[in-house]
Amino acid sequence: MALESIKEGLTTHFRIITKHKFGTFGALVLLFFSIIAIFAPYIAPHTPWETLRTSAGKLALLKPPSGEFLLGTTAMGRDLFSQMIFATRTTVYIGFVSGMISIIIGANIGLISGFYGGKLDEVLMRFTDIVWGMPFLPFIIILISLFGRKLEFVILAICLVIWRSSARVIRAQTLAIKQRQFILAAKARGCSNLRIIYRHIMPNILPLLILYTAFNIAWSVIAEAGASFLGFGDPTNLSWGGILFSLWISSKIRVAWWWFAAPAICIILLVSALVFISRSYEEVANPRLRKR
Amino acid sequence: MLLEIENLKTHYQTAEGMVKAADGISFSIDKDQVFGLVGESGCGKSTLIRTIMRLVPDSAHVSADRLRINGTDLLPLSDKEYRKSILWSEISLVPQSAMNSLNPVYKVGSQIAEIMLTHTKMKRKEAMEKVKELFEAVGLQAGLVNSFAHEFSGGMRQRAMIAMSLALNPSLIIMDEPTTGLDVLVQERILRKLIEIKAKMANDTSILLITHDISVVAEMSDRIGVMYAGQMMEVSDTLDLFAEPYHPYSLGLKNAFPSIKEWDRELISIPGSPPNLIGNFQGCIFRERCPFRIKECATQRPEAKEVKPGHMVACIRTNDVEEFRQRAGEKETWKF
Amino acid sequence: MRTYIIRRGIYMFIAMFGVATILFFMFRMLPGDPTAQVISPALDTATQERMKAAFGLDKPMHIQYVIYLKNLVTMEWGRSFTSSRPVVDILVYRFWNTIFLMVAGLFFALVIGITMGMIMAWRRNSFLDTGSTVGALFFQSAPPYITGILLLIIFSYKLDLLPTGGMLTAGTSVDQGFGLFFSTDFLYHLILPTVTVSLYYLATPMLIMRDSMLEVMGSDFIELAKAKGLAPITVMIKHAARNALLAVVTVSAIMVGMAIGGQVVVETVFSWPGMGSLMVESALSHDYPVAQATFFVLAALIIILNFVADLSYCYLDPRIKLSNSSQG
Repeated sequence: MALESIKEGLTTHFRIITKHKFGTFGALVLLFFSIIAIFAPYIAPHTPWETLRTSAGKLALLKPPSGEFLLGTTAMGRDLFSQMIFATRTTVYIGFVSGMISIIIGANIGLISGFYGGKLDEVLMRFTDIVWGMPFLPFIIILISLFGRKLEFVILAICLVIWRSSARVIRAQTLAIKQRQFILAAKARGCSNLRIIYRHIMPNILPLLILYTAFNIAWSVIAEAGASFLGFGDPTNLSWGGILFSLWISSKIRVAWWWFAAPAICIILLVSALVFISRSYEEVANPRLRKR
Repeated sequence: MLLEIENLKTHYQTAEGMVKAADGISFSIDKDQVFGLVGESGCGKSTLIRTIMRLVPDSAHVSADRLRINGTDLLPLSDKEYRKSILWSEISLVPQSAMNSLNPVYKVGSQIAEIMLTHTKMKRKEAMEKVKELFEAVGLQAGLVNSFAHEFSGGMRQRAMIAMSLALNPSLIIMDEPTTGLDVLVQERILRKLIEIKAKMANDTSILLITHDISVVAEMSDRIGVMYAGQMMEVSDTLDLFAEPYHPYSLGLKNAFPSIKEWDRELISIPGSPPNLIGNFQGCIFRERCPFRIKECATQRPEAKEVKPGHMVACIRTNDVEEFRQRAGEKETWKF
Repeated sequence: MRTYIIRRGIYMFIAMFGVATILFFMFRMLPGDPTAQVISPALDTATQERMKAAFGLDKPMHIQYVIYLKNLVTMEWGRSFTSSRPVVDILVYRFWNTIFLMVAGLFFALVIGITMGMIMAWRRNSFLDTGSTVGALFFQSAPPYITGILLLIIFSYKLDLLPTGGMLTAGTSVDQGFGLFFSTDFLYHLILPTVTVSLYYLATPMLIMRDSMLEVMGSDFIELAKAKGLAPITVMIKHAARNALLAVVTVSAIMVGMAIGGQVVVETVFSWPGMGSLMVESALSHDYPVAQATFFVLAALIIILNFVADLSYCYLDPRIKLSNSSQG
């Protein structure tokens, strides 16, 4: 029975995403990057750190893309293709983990705040206001500067702030659903509050949740890329932003267009994929946007 | 003749097929006359209004043998000419939903003044003075011109809309369900006000009154048109229609409304519901709900016949109307 | 309405207070000597001891907190570790640079975005509509520094049309006060960073305006406006857009919040001497007094701007204005 409903659920989501070409595009891109992230060590021809030499024996410094080095090399003679593959792993990992954690935080705060109302709602909302007042990137920068350039701190910093958007919206939705008849019926049946929140209200805001999960992941990717670009990323775990950082400080940007193009295009692709997917769910969550 | 409509058709092309929202409507309105248009929801009244005022989407196909106001042919006019010389200056509208018809962010008075500023050479101050006059004519305090829509009650909004419709002294005012949504007492007051205003207006303004409420139309109109599923069933003077109705649909409608004189008469409703307006329909469009239908009703679409001067009926069995009138009063006739 | 404003004002102060508190604890949570956050370890021990006393660092935590808040409010922000200049002086200069860039960028983003959104709704599903949506989403997905570098590559490196960075040509005197901001040199340097910021923030108001317009355009009062014989342009702008703007204003508040964070990367790419690049510099060099103060100013800016957005929404929608007062 459960298998049936899971299959049904998956089919519904599949249909929602593939309804427009954009959604399909988004899903394919996500799949692509996820596969690369998972199978990174098997795909990459070199490690990100080795200094390489060309077939002629010279140091392969700043070589444009060729048959030998698919995406070219960096100023330190490292293979950009391999770097990009391993960086995909880091970026996707940080993006997904931060995105997931932050939606869990945001959804719960939104649901609880909206459902219980009263003083709890006030307190939670004032707290959300405070988090809204924090400039995002500067917060990450300060946190890293204080605690060190580690992967975990980047994730922590992102999670501490990103939940704020979803919290507000989910709270608004919860307030609206709370009034509906079937919730009153559930209360009359004696359902506990927790049960009402998680078994009755939450499934009804599922499209909104998925929408914001996609957004959160997208924002996490952008945030991480931004922080790494500025030099606050984890030096042992290269990410796309980190590749751009090494490019920027090498001052070789005028000549090495490939070094810029690869990470730039990948960031844009991944983020737009996520945005497109969330737009597919936006139509479901807000029926007034559907084409009339 | 102020408004002449002959064979007006408004068809919409949709994914499911061609919707014939209005299919061959004909009637006319004279100067200083109130014409009531009666029909169920979905019979095409709104489409008719929108067609006359050219508010239909561009995808609609509009055609007519004649569509004239004050002798001017309406169909050949360009959109710009329509806006300048017809809309609101010749024909104005009191819309159905007064609350939603006022822009919430602007004061009510300025939304009326806007009309004067667009169509005449009046200055703002002059226009606002005129608006205050209009307000007083409909029974609203002049000071209310500076209020917003959400500050008015339902009845007040309706009066404001009536004031708005009078702004340019049009030849024709279309009133779309003017009393729907108002409670009975307010309805009464508005109707009375309408009669008062109509009497005051010396300039031959006519009214096209659209409603599904027969009692309203009985009180206010000089002539009545009965509409069904996008077609006109019967048109005649009010008194004549109530005294001697011809069309089976009119007979059915008469039964469905309570009368003070026969207060213990059982209300009989017409069974069934209006047909789908998509596609090609053979024969008389009312036949499925008509207790007097015969074989020919399925193949011939009835032409409008003038059974008496000024009285049109779209039915092939008008000769049997005496029998119909008798049987229509019996409950069993309508059970099938 | 007055109660609404006062309530929002109180929230504003609570938020600022909250941010200050979080900042306080963040800087004291570090392992090791917490005084390293306030007093530069580079100074000799005697000076350190003196400063410790002056800043009250030998006192218990809650007293330190009070002193911290007092200093924050009175703009006693200490001295930079790296340059020993008073933090306030450094910030004042950078503050206006950032404001100018931000205002310029957001201005164009809003004006162009809102206008485009309006046109897109009017011409729904046309090529312009779909094309602009795709373009906007695309630019929104590209972090501003990528767009910035791209523009630099094209216009500065390859075509040599525009400067590669900085706010003024090297060597220009900075003593001209506010006249500085209107010199052609300044404006010349302003172009690329402004375009970058605008492109990034264009998408949100544009898409929101479009969606909002579509919703409003189905309203009855729009139909009546047409029936009144008003020109289509008047209906679109005066009646539809005015109502659609309400939704955009609320979203703009959120956008500004993101914008301030985004300034950081744009200023770095273009070497623009503003608060954003100051944030990065001070964080990299562990110049904590500067980092802390900059962060607070940025946060305060966001909070105040949110408050202003709340107020303007209240002003734009008469339904809110009067719902709090008693009406006859």
